[in-house]
Amino acid sequence: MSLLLAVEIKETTAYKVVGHCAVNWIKAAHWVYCLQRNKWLAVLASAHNKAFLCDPYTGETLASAQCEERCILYSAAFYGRELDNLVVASGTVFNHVLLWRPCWSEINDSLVEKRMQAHEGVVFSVAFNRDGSELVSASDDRTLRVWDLSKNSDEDDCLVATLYGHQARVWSGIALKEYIVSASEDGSCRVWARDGKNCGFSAKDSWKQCKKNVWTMAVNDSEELVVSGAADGSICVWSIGSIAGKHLQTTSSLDSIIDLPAQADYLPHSVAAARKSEHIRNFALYSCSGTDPGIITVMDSGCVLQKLPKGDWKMLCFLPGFAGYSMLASTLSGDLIAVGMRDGSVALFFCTSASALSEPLLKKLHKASIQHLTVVPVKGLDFKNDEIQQNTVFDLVTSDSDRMVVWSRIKQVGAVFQWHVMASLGLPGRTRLATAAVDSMLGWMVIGSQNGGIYIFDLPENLCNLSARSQLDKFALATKDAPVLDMAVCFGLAHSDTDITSIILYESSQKRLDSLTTNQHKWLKQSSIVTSGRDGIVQRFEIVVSVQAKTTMIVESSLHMRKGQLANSPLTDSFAEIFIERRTTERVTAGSIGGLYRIAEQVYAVTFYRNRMVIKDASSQMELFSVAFAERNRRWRVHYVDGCNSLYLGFINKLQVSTCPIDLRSHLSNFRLAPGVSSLDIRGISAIQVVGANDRHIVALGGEDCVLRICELDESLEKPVKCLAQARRHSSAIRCVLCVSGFGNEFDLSDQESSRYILTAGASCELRCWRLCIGQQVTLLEWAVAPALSHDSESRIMDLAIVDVNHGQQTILVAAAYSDASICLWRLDLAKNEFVSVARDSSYAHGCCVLSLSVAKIAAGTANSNASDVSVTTTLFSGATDGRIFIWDLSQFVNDSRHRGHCCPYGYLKTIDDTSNSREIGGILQPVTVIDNVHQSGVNTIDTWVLQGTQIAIASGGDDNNLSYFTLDCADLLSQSKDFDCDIQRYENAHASSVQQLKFIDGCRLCSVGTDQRIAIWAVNGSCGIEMTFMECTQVADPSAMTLLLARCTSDSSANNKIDSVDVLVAGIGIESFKVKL
Amino acid sequence: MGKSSKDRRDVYYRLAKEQGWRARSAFKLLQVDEEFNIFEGVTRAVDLCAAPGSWSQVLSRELQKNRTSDQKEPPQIVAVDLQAMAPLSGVIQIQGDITKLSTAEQIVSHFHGSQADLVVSDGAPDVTGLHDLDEYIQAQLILAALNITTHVLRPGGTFVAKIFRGKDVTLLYAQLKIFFRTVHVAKPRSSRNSSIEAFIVCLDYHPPTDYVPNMANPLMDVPYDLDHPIVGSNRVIVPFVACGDLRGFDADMTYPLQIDDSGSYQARDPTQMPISPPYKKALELKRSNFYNKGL
Repeated sequence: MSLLLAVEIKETTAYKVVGHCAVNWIKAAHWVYCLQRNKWLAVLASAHNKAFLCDPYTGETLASAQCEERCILYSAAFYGRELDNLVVASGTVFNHVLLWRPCWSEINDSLVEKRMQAHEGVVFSVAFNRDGSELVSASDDRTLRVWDLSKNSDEDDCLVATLYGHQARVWSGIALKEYIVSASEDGSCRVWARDGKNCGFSAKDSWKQCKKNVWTMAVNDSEELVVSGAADGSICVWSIGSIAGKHLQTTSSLDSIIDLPAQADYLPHSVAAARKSEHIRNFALYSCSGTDPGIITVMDSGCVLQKLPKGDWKMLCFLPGFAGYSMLASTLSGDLIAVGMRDGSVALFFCTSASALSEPLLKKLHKASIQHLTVVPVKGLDFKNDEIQQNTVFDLVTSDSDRMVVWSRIKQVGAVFQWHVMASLGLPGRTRLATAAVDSMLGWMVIGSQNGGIYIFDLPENLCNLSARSQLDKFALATKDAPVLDMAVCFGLAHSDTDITSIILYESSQKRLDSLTTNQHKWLKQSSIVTSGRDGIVQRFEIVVSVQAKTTMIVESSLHMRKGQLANSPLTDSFAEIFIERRTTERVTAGSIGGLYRIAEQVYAVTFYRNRMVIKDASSQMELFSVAFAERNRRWRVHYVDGCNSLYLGFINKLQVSTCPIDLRSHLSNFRLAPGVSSLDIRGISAIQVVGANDRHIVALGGEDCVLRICELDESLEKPVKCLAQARRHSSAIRCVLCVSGFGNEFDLSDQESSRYILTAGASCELRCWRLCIGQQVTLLEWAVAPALSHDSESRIMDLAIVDVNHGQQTILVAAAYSDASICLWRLDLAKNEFVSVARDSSYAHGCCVLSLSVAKIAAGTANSNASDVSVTTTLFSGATDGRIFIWDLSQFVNDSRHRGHCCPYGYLKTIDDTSNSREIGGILQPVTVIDNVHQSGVNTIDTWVLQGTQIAIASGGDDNNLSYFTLDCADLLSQSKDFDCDIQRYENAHASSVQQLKFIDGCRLCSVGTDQRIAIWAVNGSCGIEMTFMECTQVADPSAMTLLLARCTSDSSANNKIDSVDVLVAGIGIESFKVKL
Repeated sequence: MGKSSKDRRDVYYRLAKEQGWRARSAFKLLQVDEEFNIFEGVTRAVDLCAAPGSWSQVLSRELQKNRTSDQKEPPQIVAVDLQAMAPLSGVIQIQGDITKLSTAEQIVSHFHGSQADLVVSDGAPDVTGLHDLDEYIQAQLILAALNITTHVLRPGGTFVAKIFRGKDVTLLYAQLKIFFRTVHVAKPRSSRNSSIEAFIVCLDYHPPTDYVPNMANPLMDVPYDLDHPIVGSNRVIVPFVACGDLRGFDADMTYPLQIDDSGSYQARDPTQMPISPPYKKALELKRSNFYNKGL
């Protein structure tokens, strides 16, 4: 059953939409010209293998044709623009592809012309090529099959090719002139190219779009661009031209492979005779006059060889000190190459003139063997009135096996190179340098350690400012004379305990409005740091210096921020603190990241996963290049010259060097036209109230794809959903999302008004807290993680409820319902970034999976103005799969937590558990009472509303399609120990299938959503029963979450905050918002 | 995640393996029977879309109990599926298409011309994730099952089939009510609360008097779209019945591996592995490292 919309575009811009209600699922629609009627008609193919001819102007069905094979289709396609030559291809549930011509007869069936049987699963899509000579079908069996229709026989031999490559079902395929492109459940599109001769196909490219399900594709007329649409709502544009040379099977299939000469050709005879074999130890690429780079290799024997793009290999020098050991670093453009030796010496090669390399400059910088080198050009210094030219000043950071770190500077003055040691750096403890970044203009040096720490050093102004030649003499020529710099601040375990592989340091583009900005100290500019690690994560940090002597600052180090003091450039007049704050953290690969390169404001990441090297744009995560290459024991280099369109990649393999250019523009032709929202079903949604912006719909979403997303729904629908921020930390599906607002955080450096906390929970007992700031920039950071409970990590958290929010102490009490039949009360300490379990229902009172929770709070003694003395009665309602609702009294926990603050009243029972660092607590939850038979099966949702006094209204929605409503007096409930009786009103079959979510709008109105894709508003009243007042269908399939945004009447301020209208946001497979006037 | 992970998350999956059922769905049919006594007096039963065969297992075991001492003939069970199914004793297998008249004739011939007392169908498409499409295909499957049922079921007989309780489910109820005097929708406790799956239990087959069974779609097309939702009094309401013992296991609950005192937990392989899934070749390629070599 579907709807056809025909759009008739007139000569003017006016158009008309004609609806056509078909009686069956439409699998294909096509325009066809009817000579008899002299007009264009629409043909439709239904899922019953029947074709319909329709008048698009009236929607009337003119004729139909039933194929003789009566079966259900998963797919169909038409070929031919004339009605008399129309061909239908249908893909059946029985794995066949049928070709037939509609005979447009009510009596006779249309005969199958060709039956193509080879698929081993249902056929999800069929598509003709442009001239109708070929058909491509996609199937459940993970293949695409290409059929030759030009052979005029119904033999099986028309199968041309079977294409394997997708690792999940293939939803769609299209046949282009030179390529076959497919879309799959595995979240990617694949491209196969035709091999001219033997009608074969070879895999050419794979475009990863999302985690799961790329549904559909379209191609432009010139067959240059393919657009794909995925389940997450994203639309990507792919340039077919960009695939050439992008994916390589091995590095040996690279364009340019250069073999090295035999060792006898360059080694002195005496050395060569003593050596059995030779291989390349290390190498670098450097820029030459042409486009291709030159190559320098350091051989195992200690020889340094050089090769110009069009010349032969020649020996540059022979340094026995290089034999068997050489560490190498070069600038990105290769104009300075530094090689470190085992004895602590460093040799520098300058590649300043295009053709000839100078002799190396050698200096013994370290006492122990060099382990790491970083060399960067110094840019932006004041070069005026100086003999020094730009691009001829370099900073070099070296470290040795004794953990000594030396910063030195190299300058070219005329024809002379000067090399000065600037300082040595003191790294704490056992820290070993893994990578470094230095920028004298910004005044920072950042060191990344082998155990994931980031160490920041402020550089003294006198060391940075060194443009005038006269000053040079002041600096030490040897390490022992150099000053020692101390660390200003460190951020330990930033990349857990893995190597930091790359650090990029640049001036922050973010202009701060808050008091922490300073320009007083010229050399300490606000800077951004981007880091990558072996953990596959890219993170961005901001370094901020506060120079005010501000005594009221209570900024303390926290999970995402570290505090320190300027160590090497003390200010005389004021006190300076330095902060490093983590802003974003994003996983770029499931494997590890080898390096980051910032080129023209874009950051590219070199990633390694499953023996493949993939170069990605770190922000869009689009792939630029991929090659089969395992990082272990093999070296690679990235080379780039400013202003070029391509990046060069080099690899070595024993006695071979291979290079290949990567066109940086190519990925720009592949882009995301529309961003994705959620690639799988949304299971939790929570509206975020934005102060002073009533019609901004910002929601937090979580679902099966484990990602928490902050999205904005635009009322204008021009851009229906914009993803503001996202984060993936959950390892399995997120089931519930709750937003807690109203914290003005002293410890929040960013926009103070707009930060709030989001709680997410889901499978594997995961419970997390996030901090969201909606300021100039939206940032979302994980704030706390609940420790694993020792019992069973396979349990899922089914629902969450906020029990109490304590602004003063920055704590939140939250109740969680578990699939193992228990309920746990957690206390979240925002200042300490920790969850502590306060109490637990250790008796598993429900005895079956708990599905839903709701909290009702009644403040007793409201007459007392002293807020801290108000005793709050807090009751928790929980529903489970057996249709019962339990009632719990949490008042004791709430009041204790409020009064006693940080010292927990129960005393932690620390269980020493080797497998998990769980802390369990002695508080025990016990239900007050139970209400049986509220529903026949699962209580999917409960909500409560406090009526007058101590009366609470409880509404629930069940798997049995029913709505239940009852009220109870909280005071009675808690004072009575005997069986509790309540009068439950039921609205049977409130929905046609299970009620998924239900919320009170106010004390007498409810909003519900069910699997039947309907949202309904109900009036509830103690005496009159339940009555439906509004119903609407939603397009969202499998709606499982709902949140309400209430708009209060603004015109009438006296009307007791009367609710005017409600925005109902429904989420499932997609999101939809409804504005309901009440 | 180890082998026991799914055992923990899904108690019926584990119980099925322990009790030798080919799939956990066996419990669903048993629980439907607990509520509706669908096996009472049944001697001839048809299992449509039978693979992997757990419902046929249930039928063969439960129908034996109906056999009285004076009755010599064993119960007759015919299992139909398009896919091959591992053999089961006491069950006649037909590898055929339920939309074909020839299949119906084959079934009746196995009953020596008699009609069946009970037709069950646990068929479901391989869900694509496009809910509308999945529900549509599922509804089509039930209609196909109903078509063949009109050929093979005796008047007064029972029809049980899996449905998806989605958007258009009321339409399906309306159609089933034409053929059966009593229609219930049952949710066994072994079916997960979170699943949209449920079972229609249609009792007392009673086709319209002028109805002639045919394999073409016999059902009325009710005009129905988003602008005209079937609501209020037009809506066909089918009673909902939760079935299965409340003291039994809960499909949604996570159980510890040790659920009773009957000895220690033991991880088991599924009773019957799939015989020929569509992705068989792809799986072989995966094992031979094909996908890692490619792009």
